[in-house]
Amino acid sequence: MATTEEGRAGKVGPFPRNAPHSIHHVNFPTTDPERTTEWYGNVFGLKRIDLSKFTNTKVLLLTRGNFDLHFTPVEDMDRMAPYHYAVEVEDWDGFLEHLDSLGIRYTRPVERPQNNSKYAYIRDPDGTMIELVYHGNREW
Amino acid sequence: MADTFKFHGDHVGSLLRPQALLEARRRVEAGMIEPEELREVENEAIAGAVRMQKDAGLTIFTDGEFRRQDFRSGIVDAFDGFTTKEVEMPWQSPTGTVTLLSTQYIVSDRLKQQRRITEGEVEFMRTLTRGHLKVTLIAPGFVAERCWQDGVSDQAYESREELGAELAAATKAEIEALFAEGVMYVQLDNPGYAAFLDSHVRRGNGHGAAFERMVAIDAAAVEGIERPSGASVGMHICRGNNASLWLAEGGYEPIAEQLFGSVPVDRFLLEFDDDRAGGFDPLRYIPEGKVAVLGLISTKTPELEDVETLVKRIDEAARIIDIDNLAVSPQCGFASVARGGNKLTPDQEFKKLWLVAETAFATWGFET
Repeated sequence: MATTEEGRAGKVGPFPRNAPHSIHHVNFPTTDPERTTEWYGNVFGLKRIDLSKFTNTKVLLLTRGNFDLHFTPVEDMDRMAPYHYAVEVEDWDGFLEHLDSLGIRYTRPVERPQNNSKYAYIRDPDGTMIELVYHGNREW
Repeated sequence: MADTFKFHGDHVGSLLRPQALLEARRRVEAGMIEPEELREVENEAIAGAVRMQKDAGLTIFTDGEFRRQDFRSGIVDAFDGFTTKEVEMPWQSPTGTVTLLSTQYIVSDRLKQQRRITEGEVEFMRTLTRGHLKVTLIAPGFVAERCWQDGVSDQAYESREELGAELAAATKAEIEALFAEGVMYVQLDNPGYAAFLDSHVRRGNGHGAAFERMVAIDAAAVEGIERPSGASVGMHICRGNNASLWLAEGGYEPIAEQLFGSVPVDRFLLEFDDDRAGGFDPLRYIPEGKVAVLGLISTKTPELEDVETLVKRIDEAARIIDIDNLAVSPQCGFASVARGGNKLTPDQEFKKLWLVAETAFATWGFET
């Protein structure tokens, strides 16, 4: 495998040349971009990126800096399940308390002892399921 | 992903029969076509039913009971010794009592088993899906009580108990055969318990003895059955289901403690779809570790329930039973009687089943 020494953001190589950096975003449908913006803002602290100066796209771009979520407006929502994405959180108990304070229901948290992780699901206003994940010994 | 697999999104089993299937069955009965031709039509209809269940997002599949005339057909078709007669039965509707002609099966001779109760059903289903299969059977306690006629059945059997023991043994053998075929979920249907709930169907005295007999016979059919890993036996207790009509009303309280505590099934499928069904309080009698399947979605009306409301009701029941030991389903089948399908279109039926899966996703996450 060919490698490169050029890393990003101070990372030191060598890196395999086909190495992805990370998943940049996922794109799910939304029937109500305003409601989606408000919900993801409240739950994850995401902010809308104003694209109006650059493009007339209807796609909604939300970001928290280190990850983005995109939403394509649709009139009718198809079921996405079992397609879903997972968001890893920094503070498990804190995040669940945050959900409680917002009145957002989550499924019973499940422990994965094999990798010291936990998970639960929440559901956005369009019914898209989001898995919340926490790893106890994350070193990166 | 989820690590548990408890069929949180369940359904009772029977589905609306396509018109072509009803017509083919009519033509067989009239001697116009051969049974093999009917079987081809059944196969095609079942293939469509399985596709529909997959599209709806379900994780457990039935053949819609498409090879059966009604919920009792499996056993009465497999045994010689039953005769039939047509009787008028009073059904309940939102506007009052409706009398329908119904088929009554009577044990008129010693029963003689001619074939498997579910002959050929699983074999064909396996050609359609690698998914988990559910097969329904009429509960032997129901047959022993409801197919007994004094002056007729007692010419063949000394008692209902004797008949019941024979039916329980046959049912147990069928359940074991189904598990051996790889079926993950066998469901016994006993609408007979509705007679002990309520007003419309209560007749005379002697309910205590009849109820205890029914419980003992149903229990005998399940006792000692070894389940393959992950496999379940369920019991569905309904209040009557024919053309969107019903027979009985009232909560499960009068029968809950003895029934839930005595019949050793793994799951009880119960009706909670409207005010006639009573509240969740009787769930306190479900033994620890067993599953209560909440029949919250109505097959009797086309109006689609709302996911958020359904999740709230499940959370309400979870105050009584651990949420992981709850499941959601329609309250009953869509067509317990082939020609008595409920007043829904196939599209409305699909949306109800879609809602079952959606509610299960929303409540428990994904099962894999």
